[in-house]
Amino acid sequence: METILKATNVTKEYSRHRGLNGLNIEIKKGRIVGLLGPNGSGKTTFIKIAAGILRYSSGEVLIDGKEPGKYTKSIVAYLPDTNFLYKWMKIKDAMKFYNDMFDDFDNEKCTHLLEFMNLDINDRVMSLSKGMLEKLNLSLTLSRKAKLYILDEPLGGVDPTAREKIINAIIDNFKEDSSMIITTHLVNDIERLFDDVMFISEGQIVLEGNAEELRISKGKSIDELYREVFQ
Amino acid sequence: MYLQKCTISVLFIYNSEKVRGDKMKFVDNVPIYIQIMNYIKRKIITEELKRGNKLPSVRELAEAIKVNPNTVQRAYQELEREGVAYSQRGLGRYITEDEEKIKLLRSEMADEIIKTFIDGMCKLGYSSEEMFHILEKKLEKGCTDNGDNS
Amino acid sequence: MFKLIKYEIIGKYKSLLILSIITIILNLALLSRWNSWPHSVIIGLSVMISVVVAVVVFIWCIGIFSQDVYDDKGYLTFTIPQRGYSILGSKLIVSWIFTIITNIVSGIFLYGFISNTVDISKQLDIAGLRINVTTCIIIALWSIFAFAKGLLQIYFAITITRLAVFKKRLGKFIAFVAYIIELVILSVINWGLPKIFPQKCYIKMFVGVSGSISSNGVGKIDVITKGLPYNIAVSIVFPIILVITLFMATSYMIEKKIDL
Repeated sequence: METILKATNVTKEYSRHRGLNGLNIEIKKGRIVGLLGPNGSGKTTFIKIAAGILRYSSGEVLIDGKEPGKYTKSIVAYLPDTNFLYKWMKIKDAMKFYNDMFDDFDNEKCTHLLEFMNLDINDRVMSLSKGMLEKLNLSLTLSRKAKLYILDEPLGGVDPTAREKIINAIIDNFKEDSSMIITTHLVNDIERLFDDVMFISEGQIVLEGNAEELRISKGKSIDELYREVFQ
Repeated sequence: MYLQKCTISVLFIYNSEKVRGDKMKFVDNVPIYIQIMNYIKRKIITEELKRGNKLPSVRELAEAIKVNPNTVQRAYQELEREGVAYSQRGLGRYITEDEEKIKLLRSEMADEIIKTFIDGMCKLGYSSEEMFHILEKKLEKGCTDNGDNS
Repeated sequence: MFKLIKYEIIGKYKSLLILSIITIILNLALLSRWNSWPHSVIIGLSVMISVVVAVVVFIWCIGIFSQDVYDDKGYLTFTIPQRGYSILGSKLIVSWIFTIITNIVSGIFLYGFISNTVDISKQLDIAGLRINVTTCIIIALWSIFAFAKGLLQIYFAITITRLAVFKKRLGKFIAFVAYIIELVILSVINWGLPKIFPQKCYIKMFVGVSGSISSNGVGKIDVITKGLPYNIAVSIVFPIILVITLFMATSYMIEKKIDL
């Protein structure tokens, strides 16, 4: 199976601490991977590096064989944890923007997803609630035909009905030749989506493996395993 | 031990189904693909899924129960391997038409449940006679009342 | 790049429109006082309005860059597959467009006020001079260039500070300090260069000098006949090198070095 992302011995130095400390990650094509860890564990740092908006101090990160840059940005669909759309935009402006900037954006799919999420394209981005914003951002991200999707806390701060829709959208979007990295600490809701999981702590991977196999070998759910690893 | 867990999970799901309707409930420590397989097997036995029926597509089922499509795929492949389902190129997956197979499935699952019952009761110290007696009494009430222990 | 320009404009055109309308309203107010207030006062106020508007627009121009570098807006700008020079170029071009538009709006009124007070062409005819058209074009082009230079100096200071300093509030303050330092360094260079390269060139402001100009000294006639002296190194070569360097450095930094 091909590898879409390979991080080798990656470190990220900050002035007072190390965000990443010898991180090794390999993501294969067609897999949904859960990157699990508490705040400050380094998962957001790694995500930002993969998205191309943060530099690493040493080591190597290759996405589809290339260092993060213009090419990788065109094949990586990144969903940040914050409101990142320009404040003056309406939903339809955001769609046009994505359509203009990304060659792999599927307008029809986005319209379909927005309908599914009950979002009106004439609404202003600033007027949306947190849950609606999350649904919008996810719709935009999933409407790209990217090789690697990176979703940073897609369920954070979102009510249960919205969460269900988001999970459904993720499953529906699953393609055999795309991979997905999902970071979350709401493991319970989403663990059945993961093919593989990686537990990250203090800038390193402390446990990783196939989700089903971990359930069998450890005799517990991924959620329980998470609590055990990070108690 | 492992099979025991499977059966317990079957009981669990069986109970929950009666109480909640048609929602599939997952257990923590059993592989999900096995839980899916058991869920489908049970539906076949109770004839909610009739023989020869088409199984939902991998994606449909994945969305319905919120599970990774690869996992559903694996469950389906295992079902095929066991002969419970078969696939037709381009048309999808179907439940076996083999009546004997389905009867076998039913008795296999029944065996498991009974075995767990006997094991459990033995551990509690019940003798065979006592077990028999209790069963007789409980069965007087028929099927519907006996699931309300949770 | 054009797509970026398009979206920058869409984002700001309403503000620009409001600003222009305010300028027009204020100037029309001045116009209504044309016959009651002294003309010099009106011209002075109109100049003030255009200065204030120019400052506001300039702050916006800085803003469209610093927002990407400091705010969440950057998440979108820096994850789209665009090169650094493309992003930077779009900011500069949009800044030009906004500045030119507001200058034209203020300028029309100012020209109207001035030409109705002093007949410039008449004065020139009296002196026997004509304004050199080439020079005007050179001045126009040069001011566009100088605007880019000024803006790039600020963008550069912002970017280089962002690389070094992580905290946002502190970063903005330090960026300001960095800008001052940059200006000092450039002033030193500008002072030192003529000593190394004393060659000059002359820009003729006027043509057709007739002999009826009186002079108090040689210098003044020289300025009018020969033109204004500019040290080539300081005024032409160095700025061009500077602009190219700043542009390339800033593009490189935002593409390869930025940490959000």
